[in-house]
Amino acid sequence: MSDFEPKIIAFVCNWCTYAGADLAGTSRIKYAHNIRIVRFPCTGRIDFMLLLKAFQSGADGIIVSGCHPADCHYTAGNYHARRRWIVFQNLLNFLGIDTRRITFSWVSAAEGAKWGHLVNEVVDNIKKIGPYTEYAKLGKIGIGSISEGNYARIE
Amino acid sequence: MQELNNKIAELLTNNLVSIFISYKKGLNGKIKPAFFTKPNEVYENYFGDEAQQNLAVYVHKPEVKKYSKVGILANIFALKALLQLYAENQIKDNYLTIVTVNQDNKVIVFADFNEIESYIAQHQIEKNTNKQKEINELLSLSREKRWEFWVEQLSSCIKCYACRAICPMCYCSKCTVELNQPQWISVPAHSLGNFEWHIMRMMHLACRCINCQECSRVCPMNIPLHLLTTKINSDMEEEFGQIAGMKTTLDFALNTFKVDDYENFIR
Amino acid sequence: MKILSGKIMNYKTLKIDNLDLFFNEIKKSGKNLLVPKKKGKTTYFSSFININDVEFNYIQTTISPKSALFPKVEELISFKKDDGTYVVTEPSIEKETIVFGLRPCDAVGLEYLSNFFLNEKSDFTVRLRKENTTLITLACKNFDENCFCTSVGLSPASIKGSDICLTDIGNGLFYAEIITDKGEKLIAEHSALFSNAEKINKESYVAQVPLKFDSDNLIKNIKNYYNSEKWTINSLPCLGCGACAFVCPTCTCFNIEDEANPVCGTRLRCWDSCAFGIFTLHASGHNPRPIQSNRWRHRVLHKFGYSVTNMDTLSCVGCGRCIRVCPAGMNIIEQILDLQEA
Ligand code: SF4
Ligand code: SF4
Ligand code: SF4
Ligand code: SF4
Ligand code: FES
Repeated sequence: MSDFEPKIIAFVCNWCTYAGADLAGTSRIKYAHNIRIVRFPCTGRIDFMLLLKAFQSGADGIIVSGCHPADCHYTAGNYHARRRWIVFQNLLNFLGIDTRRITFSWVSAAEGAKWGHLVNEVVDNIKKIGPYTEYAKLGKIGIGSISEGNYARIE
Repeated sequence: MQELNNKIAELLTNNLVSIFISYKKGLNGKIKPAFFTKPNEVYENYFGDEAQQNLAVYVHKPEVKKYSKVGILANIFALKALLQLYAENQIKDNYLTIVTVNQDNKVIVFADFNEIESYIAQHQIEKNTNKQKEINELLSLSREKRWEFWVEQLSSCIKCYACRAICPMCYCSKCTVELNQPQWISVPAHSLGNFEWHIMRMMHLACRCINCQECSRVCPMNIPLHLLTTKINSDMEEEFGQIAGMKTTLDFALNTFKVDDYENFIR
Repeated sequence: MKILSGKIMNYKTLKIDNLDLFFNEIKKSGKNLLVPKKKGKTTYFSSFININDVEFNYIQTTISPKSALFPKVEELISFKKDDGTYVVTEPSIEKETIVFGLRPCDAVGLEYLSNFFLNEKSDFTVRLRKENTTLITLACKNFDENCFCTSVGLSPASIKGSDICLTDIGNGLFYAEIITDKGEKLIAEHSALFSNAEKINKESYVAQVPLKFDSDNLIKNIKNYYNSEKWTINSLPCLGCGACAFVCPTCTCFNIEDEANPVCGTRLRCWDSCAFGIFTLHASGHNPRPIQSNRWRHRVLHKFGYSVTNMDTLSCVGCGRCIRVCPAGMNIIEQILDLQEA
């Protein structure tokens, strides 16, 4: 497992975390390269379906990050997002989806170092727990005749 | 029940409603929805324990809306659904006449939604401890076992959307599953499409679902959807203290927030 | 409609106690054996594992066996980018399948379904599946108020569409009618379990399903019903889900979905239903069946009218599944009786 390089998708808001990641870059802070950043106007815009799509496309881990409470550029986007994350996280956990692979965080535009740390930690952690294939495999279950059983089991 | 039949006939005779939605016995003995338009049809009306379907689903059916004044027999779940629909601005003023029969077999015609609100407050539905037990059992399993359980359950979904069709709170004229630009939900009923469908549905019903468990009742594949609805509702209550179908004004947990909402997982 | 019958090639008996052996032998031979199983209120077909989870106590399965020929999702083609070129693969369906425990009406339903797919342009996957599938029908001993095979020209004794038809004749014996070469072949492979028998009169061993309506009269008058006012009021309970179509052995509507990215992808065929509002929605926004009563009418008229015109047969076999499964109590028998009353 030592040569496993996890794919991490980060969904971040434009005003804080993206700027924070930018700062990490301009301050020449070195951090794991396993991350692909997707920029959104605000955490309030990060639809929960996007997280599922990331897992479907083979992400091993996900970071969702935005402005600290009270700092959202649109005043309350992150407060709304926070409630949604609470519900979503509970639901995914109930369904047995591996929620250890989703990290939520607040990273401000000034927290370049925090961003670097966070990414490193997430990458280390995912390296430890290994690749996530369960969810991506779902697309193959239930296709074809009932030979596999109407109630499919994963091998 | 004679008193109820008289009431329905009276509403129809006096043109207070142009159609009344209740129950009747079908040819095969199964109790099904009835749509009475004339007083002389009301003798068919059925009242009893077998009347299960939540009739609130019909108030937004276009063919029903054509009748300007609609009467409806509502059990406690239908009342909760109607109240939630009202709070969500889905019921026009003076469109509905809502009738219920209380535990003493008295027929009640509600004057307005405030009366329904207080009726519901007095008639709390007991929490189903069995379901809570099932949920706790699942939660006590390892994550992997829970995953196996749900993959097995949800893989069998055939995407007939009976759960959506029967649900009084699923009223969108264009459901997310029908959108394809972009396509959020994979259309085929393979396990991926099924997971996406059920996760999306639960997220859209969190704190709007009144937990009538109709979706679970009608699923041809016997998928325990009530576990999902019960879980998400109790989460909403625990986390935010909000429950659907209790108030005339919108009390939707995902539409609002508190600055000090508690969580322990954001880094 | 006259009672449909096939030509019987041979008669045998099988000890009911030997079913377990029979099933295990089939399983051992590497074939896929589908048997009825139960989960809560739902009876469905699934691969045989153990005789203990085979369900025998059902009037009719909740889900029809049509998935054996026409699965809820199936791959039509798939492609993959390999060294800059795309490689396209067609699915291979080699595994032989045996369906046990479908009812006589289902066998006719599956015959209709394959005729539909193999009619003008022979459908690739349905043809392969059909060639590889053997149907062992179980004649009905019981019926319920939703069964109406006799009203559509069939009966619990009909053998049309089956490869082998088993009837419980008491004393722990199944009477086996072997109808097709496929059936012959299967019996030959397990000949030790079957004994020779004389032709018997099955009628007294099967359920006597009462007539619910007169289908000749229905077919004759069907054109007059199109404009009936009854469709609207009768379809008010209908919620426009796909349950009735998805459990029906003769509903063939499908939708084709491409799931692809630039590197690989598949083309999938999925069940669809005429009861869905968007089924007939045009890209222009126009919908020729804008309201549910139009869709309900289409379903009923297709079963009893359009398929008679197009394929010279009814496309309802009276299995009653749509009635049992409907969340809103819609009943095709009630609708027909109501139309005929006028
Ligand atoms: S009713 Fe059941 S089978 Fe149909 S879409 Fe809902 S969960 Fe799936
Ligand atoms: S329990 Fe099911 S049918 Fe009832 S409101 Fe909730 S989601 Fe809708
Ligand atoms: S008839 Fe019943 S099963 Fe069929 S679409 Fe209407 S509500 Fe659904
Ligand atoms: S229409 Fe209903 S009764 Fe007729 S074949 Fe289909 S499911 Fe069976
Ligand atoms: S703009 Fe950063 S969370 Fe709203």
